[in-house]
Amino acid sequence: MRVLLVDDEIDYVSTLAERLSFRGIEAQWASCGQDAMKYLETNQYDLAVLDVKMPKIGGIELKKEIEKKYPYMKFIYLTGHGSEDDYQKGVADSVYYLIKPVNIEELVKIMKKTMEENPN
Amino acid sequence: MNRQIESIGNSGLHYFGSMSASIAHEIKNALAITNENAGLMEDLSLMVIKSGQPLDPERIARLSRKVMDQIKRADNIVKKMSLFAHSVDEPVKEISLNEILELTLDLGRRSALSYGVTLAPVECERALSIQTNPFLLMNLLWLVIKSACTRVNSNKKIEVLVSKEDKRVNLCIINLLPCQQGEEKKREIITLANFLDAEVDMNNKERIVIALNENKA
Repeated sequence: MRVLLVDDEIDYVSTLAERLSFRGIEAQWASCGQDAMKYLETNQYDLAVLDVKMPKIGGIELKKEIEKKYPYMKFIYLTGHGSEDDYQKGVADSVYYLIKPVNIEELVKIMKKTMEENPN
Repeated sequence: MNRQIESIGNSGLHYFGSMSASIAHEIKNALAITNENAGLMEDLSLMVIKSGQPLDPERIARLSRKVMDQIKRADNIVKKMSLFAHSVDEPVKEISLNEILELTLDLGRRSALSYGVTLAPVECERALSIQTNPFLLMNLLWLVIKSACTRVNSNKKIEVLVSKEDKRVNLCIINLLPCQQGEEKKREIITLANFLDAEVDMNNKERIVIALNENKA
């Protein structure tokens, strides 16, 4: 599984990427939507884990942008916000919606579930 | 009169809720980073037990420092939250305008970033104090700054210039583009300004000016 992590908190997303690699998941991190789109141009990813609240372009809008070019990709939302409104957006999108701080084993479980539930 | 009080009440509640949510989000981010770095230390320790490879002490020191940095970050956020919470303690109080302005900007920085806008730190030649309702002043300042975020120029940076003129203090929000302010938001700002005996000039094309009375009884 190749994963793209997008979160504006670099200390968070870089550490998460390293911990996922210890668990056999190849993870690339990006700190903004712009960088994420650049990585997508040159690399293939199965799944994107997106922070919902980011400057300029948030996770929900970024998902729409990614889907236009890469419709096969799967998504998970991560947020520190936890508002009911954002949760409903996740439900409407049929996307798992996790609230930080996240237990990494739980995150890995949800990643595998997402891939199994929506096979390419 | 009732309509004015209802408008001010609703505006205040909305501001309090919005800032509380923003503070909670910031604290969550600090906790999330702490969680991941502590988790990484645990992962590395387990790898040592499994493989027998020695642990890099400098790596552990770096991770520990990151945890301490986030604790400091969360502590600063909680301090600001406490200042914000206490801004409702007294309806009229002599306050440091510099401090109230800085607190308002600090609390609003993340919200401003969602518009792609940075809020420059306040630069003021001298310490200025005024007598006013601290919470409602912060509310007014934030309403105006938030409105400014929707019309910032290509600089993408809002600056607040502070100056004194007789018994009035002027806050000038600059680096804006000409834009028609929505009537509802304008009414909300004017209602609050009137209550605080302040004036807000939103007709200028490239700036918004808030004029405050030094002494509001």
